[in-house]
Amino acid sequence: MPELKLKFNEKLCATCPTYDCLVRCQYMDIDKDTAKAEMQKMIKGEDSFVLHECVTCYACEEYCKRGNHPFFFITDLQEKRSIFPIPKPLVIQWVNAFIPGRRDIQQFWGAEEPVISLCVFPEYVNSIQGKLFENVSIIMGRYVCCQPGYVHFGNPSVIRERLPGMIENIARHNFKEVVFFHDECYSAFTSYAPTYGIKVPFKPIHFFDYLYNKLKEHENEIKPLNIKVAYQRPCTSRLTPKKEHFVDDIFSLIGVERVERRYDRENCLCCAGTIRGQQRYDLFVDVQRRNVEDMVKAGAKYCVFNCPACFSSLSEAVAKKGLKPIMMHDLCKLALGEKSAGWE
Amino acid sequence: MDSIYKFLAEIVGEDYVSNKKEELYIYSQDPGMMEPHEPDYVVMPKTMEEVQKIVKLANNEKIPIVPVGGSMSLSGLVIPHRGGIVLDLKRMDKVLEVNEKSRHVVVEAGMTQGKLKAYLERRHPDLRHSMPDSPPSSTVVGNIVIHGQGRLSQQYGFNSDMVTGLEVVLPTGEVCKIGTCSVSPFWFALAPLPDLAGLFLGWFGTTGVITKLGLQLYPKKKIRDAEVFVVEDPNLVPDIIYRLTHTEMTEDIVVGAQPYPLIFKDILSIIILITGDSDEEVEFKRRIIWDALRTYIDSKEGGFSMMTPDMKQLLLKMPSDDTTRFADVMKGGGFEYCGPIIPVEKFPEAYKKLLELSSKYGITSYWKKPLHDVFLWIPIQSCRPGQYREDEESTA
Repeated sequence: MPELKLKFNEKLCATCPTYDCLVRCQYMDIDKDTAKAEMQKMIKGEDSFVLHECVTCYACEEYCKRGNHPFFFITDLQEKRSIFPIPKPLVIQWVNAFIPGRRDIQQFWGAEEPVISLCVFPEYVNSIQGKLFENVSIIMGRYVCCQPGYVHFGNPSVIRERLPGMIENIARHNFKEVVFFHDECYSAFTSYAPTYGIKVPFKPIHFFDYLYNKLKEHENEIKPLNIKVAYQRPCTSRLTPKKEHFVDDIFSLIGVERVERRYDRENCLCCAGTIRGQQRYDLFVDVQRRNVEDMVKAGAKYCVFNCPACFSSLSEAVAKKGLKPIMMHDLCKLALGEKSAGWE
Repeated sequence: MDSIYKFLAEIVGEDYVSNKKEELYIYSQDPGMMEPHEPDYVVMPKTMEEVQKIVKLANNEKIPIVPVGGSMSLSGLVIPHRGGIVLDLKRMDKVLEVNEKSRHVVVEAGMTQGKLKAYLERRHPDLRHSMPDSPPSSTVVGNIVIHGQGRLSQQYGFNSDMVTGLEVVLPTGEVCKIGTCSVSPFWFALAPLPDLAGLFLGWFGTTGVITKLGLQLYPKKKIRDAEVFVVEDPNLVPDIIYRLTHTEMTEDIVVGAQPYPLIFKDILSIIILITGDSDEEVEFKRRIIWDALRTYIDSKEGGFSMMTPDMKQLLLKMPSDDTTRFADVMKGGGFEYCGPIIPVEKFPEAYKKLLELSSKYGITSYWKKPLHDVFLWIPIQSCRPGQYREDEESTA
């Protein structure tokens, strides 16, 4: 297979008037001149403190309004220079964890659209029930795992090795559209793949797009929840900001107020799971503390999650401060008078 | 009706003695790989006096006796290889005393780990015993007579080191008390008398039938949490354990390795359990533990793993059921282990040897290294003929 190359435009970067990619970074204190100098160093393939201190939160990908992919550029260079943001045994652990399942999974054959991919989160199968999910088929497992987490681990080439196979696995089902429960999957197929010139022969649909349309079908059954919520944006949503309106659209439909707070939207903070993996414990605690205190201060009673990995990382800290952590689809179900299996 | 059966029935009552084939069958085996052998009688005494009478009878008639608790031993210790009487102590399952202030409990021989845990949680929520990872139906006495370990062994030693008193029926039928209980009503320590407990601890019941046990209890903290430090190189493990134990901040430390699920492949997981009465206490300990391993973090040779809440809950389960799941017990599987007791610095050598054995015999192994010894746990697929022999060879 030919090497898949990043479409990073060095000249475009050199003429950037803002260097927002680094200047707006919430984890490094960088002024514009320093940002320019460090980017130039990295363009030359040289070492930079950015390569060592980056928390791999994806935010620079969104801050760059010229679409030049600074995040992928930085993470590719980390790998080229063997700068691993996390310890090697953890890299081994996570590279092994999602070795693609090549064999056919019989139960998925015959799956009919609408089809939802749960990625590697089988624990959510029981929650994909009720009016919003009537007649859906589910596919999941390493067989269809999107794999982009490796940008956090300093080995993004693993994604490029594996992603085409995953796309092939899904494509063999001849689905026209696939709904991706995991934001990371959606972003992988709609942003990462095209950035590296990988073709995707089906239409990826974001889970929130699906939820919104399903809620519209049941609009007359919705009982407004009348609650204040904080929304925890996942890192990969930085790759696909155009679909972010679905968050507000859904909240509006189900009568939920998204509190105005400092760390939301483009200024959101990472769930800090990766920061912990980088063994930066003080920063991990600080980021989670600031984030949750911000939610509390803004008057939120619930913290709504998009990504199951963010939920794993942050839900305990949220709950300890008296907020209820909840996944978006569970919140939607509450508005329809439904609860997931196992809930009281 | 034979005379032995009649005598046993007179001692314990008709309902608690049997020589029926279907009941002898149950007592002919353990969950391990040893060849089964049926006893001639099974008897279930209720009191120490009944145990005394049975032992005297057996002594007079020269009939072998095998005392059993939960019958969960894996090494043939509860199999009556020479027939005779199986003395099932399950009916002797009372908690006789809990002393909150000096933190000890006195239990009868048939008290199970699960029942004692539940009893303490309900009535003495600030106290706990050193719970092993054996099934809850295994007995407290059964564990101490094999020098078993538990969740608190990292801090306090083998569970047999936690014994504060014993009542034992000797092979002659005489009763022997060990520790302060032999000269006072109190069961709080083995000292200051000469320590004769060693005549019975680690002897698997062959030197006498323990009928009562005094056992040290420990503070039960309100919160438990887990961290997993992962490394690739087994040679680092002894120093990591040394650094962790130096902090005196851990409840337990267990090193594990297994090929499946793939997330555990090619790495060693050092499971570190932390306790505290408040979030602040747990956090304080966590930071000290992280700092203790900073050298390995900075060199990128090791790191604290990212865990989901589900993964953490599995680690906090007490007893752990991971081996049961791994061995596929629900489908009739089981597991065998070899558990050599070794000094911690011999860990890398033992690890490599066990991997070599696993590879040589094509066995999917799962193993753990608590404080003192290494367990190689090997799942047995009951549906596969010949597996017993292969496993026996590999654990020999």
